[in-house]
Amino acid sequence: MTDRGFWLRVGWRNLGRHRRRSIITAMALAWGFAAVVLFNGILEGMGSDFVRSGTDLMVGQIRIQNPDYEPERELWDVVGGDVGVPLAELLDRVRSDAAVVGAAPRLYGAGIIASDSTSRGGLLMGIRPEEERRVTYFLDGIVEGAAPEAGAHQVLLGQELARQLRTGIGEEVVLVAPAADGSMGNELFTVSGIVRTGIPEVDAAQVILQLDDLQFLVALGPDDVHEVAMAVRNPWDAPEVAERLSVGLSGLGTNIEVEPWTRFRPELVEFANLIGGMNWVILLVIFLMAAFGVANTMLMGTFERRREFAVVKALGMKPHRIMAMVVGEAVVLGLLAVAAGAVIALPLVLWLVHFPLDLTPLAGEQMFLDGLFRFVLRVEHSWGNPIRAAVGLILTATLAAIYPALRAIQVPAAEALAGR
Amino acid sequence: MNRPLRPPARAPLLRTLAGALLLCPALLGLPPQPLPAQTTDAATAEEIVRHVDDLLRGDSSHGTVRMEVVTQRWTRTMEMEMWSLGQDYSLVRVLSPSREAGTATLKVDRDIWNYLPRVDRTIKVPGSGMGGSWMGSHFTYDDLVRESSMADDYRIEVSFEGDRDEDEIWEFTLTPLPEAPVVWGRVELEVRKDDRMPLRARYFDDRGELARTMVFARFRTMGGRLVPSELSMHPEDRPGERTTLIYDDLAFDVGLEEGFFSLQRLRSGP
Repeated sequence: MTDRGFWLRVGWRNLGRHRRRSIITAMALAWGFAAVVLFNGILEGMGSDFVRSGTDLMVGQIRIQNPDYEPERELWDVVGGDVGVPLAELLDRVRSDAAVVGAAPRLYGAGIIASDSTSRGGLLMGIRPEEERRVTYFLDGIVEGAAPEAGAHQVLLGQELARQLRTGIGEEVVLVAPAADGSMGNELFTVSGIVRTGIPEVDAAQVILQLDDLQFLVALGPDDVHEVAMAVRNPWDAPEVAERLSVGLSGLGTNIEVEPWTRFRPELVEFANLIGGMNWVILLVIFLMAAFGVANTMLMGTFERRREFAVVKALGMKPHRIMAMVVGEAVVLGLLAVAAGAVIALPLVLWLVHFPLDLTPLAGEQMFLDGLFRFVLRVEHSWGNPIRAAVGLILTATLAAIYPALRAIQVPAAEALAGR
Repeated sequence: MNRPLRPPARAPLLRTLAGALLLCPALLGLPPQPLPAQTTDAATAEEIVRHVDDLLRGDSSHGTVRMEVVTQRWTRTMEMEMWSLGQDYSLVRVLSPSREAGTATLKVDRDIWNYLPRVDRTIKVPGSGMGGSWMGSHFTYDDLVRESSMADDYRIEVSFEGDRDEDEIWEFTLTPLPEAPVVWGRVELEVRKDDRMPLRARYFDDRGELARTMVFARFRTMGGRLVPSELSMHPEDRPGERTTLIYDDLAFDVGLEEGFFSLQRLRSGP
């Protein structure tokens, strides 16, 4: 009577008495479990996609800036401030961190871009394309031509901007920008390509050129950058990596601030938290439904077995053992359901992990939190969710059995045996 | 209505740049008039403000001006030659420093073009570029083209009358009329009593916070008229910074025609 599996064995046998009813209840729970696992996985995948689309497209997951640069974005607030910082060494140091996939220096500016026929305001971005590609993927959006080449005085224009300027590849444009010394920088460039990022503000204004071309235009030096953007292997490691880099760069100069995306894109963190909250809500709703199913089954079971409980009570069985008998039955039911649910969920999850369902043709691409989001049902692979769901389900089944168990204890032995 | 949270830099008094630099040559200093009696009633207040307003409006002008821009990072002086006709036409050409010599700005009505000798191109300033700085100064292109009238767009009250800093002055508080196309929440204008010269104008934003101050100084007779020959604009959000315009030479009614203000002239000079 003392071995731990005893009440589970009793539970298993009791379930066998009404095999069909037990199977139906277990299947209801199993589907609930499978649904929770699948929805949680899809939500996690969405959250992860949001974070990636919000960082990988343009901003990166870690950035280095002069702490004064935001929000005024003054031209002269470069990394390292007035003293400056050796850019090559800074890049070497951050790239030597194993978690850093790539690091791309950038310079920003605002100015006027003019074609032969008209002019527009432009957001200027000086980059080194080959380094940028290791951090972000907006250059993959080049629809025509190529990224600007070094030493060729070329610009890559946002698609809408190029359309508005009525210009095209190989044509000349003039860039005019206020320079750091108060003068008005102006230079001729040739259009090397057209890019479409999907972010309307970017496509209508972005002018991308070689870093050193922009540095010259706005009268800044070759080590002057506003930002070093980085990509890390796992976006959720960014805060930790940023902390590490911050320490590693402290000897290099002042006015160097390393920030993870969780700090400069807090809305993405909030969104990820929202998704976490939604996971719990789904868990709660589905298991609440499951709880009533279990309670119903167990309650019916105890009503049917009134005489049986009366007999064991009359024979001197302690109430807590009667309770253990009923609850044990529910636990076995829960375990069965988890096993069946895993069988249902596993192939679905694996399928969506490896073959994400692309709903983009139905839903289109959406801009959300400044990231380009594609509606792809992709499941994020993690063990946390299924385990949480399994524990939740068994707990639910156990709790749902408590009321029926209490009813079983309260069966008045004499009256029940007397058939009243 | 979509109002920008922060009003773009703009000074109706001297239309900042359009007013200060491009139109100030036309400062039609009316001859000082006999001072009114002790108290200043609303009608007189309006007349005085209209007089200051009219300092800006006028016929054609031609002159040279130095523009000093002082920022926390750098200080630079540019010498410029300019022509204007009324409020709608003006042309400014940089004489020095040599690196920028020949750079020119043409304003016709609400449009602005820049000529850039380095790339030999004429560029129209696009709508989205109008908030940009003009020649590195604290004035934006918007400042050049905005038009409003202190006398017509504001309700005028005399908020102070008497001695201040050794000058007998009026201080007028101007609050925009409901439909007026202005960005300021309030303007305080100080005018010297003895010659009706503006001394200072302070521009407050919608929240009642001081946004910029214009200081007028070096009152000189130029082209036969008494005008403030030095105007300084102090933006409140950049303490210690200023843009100052100093007129070295100014002539009025020089007989310019609308046709003078052409893109060809912008490129080639007069």
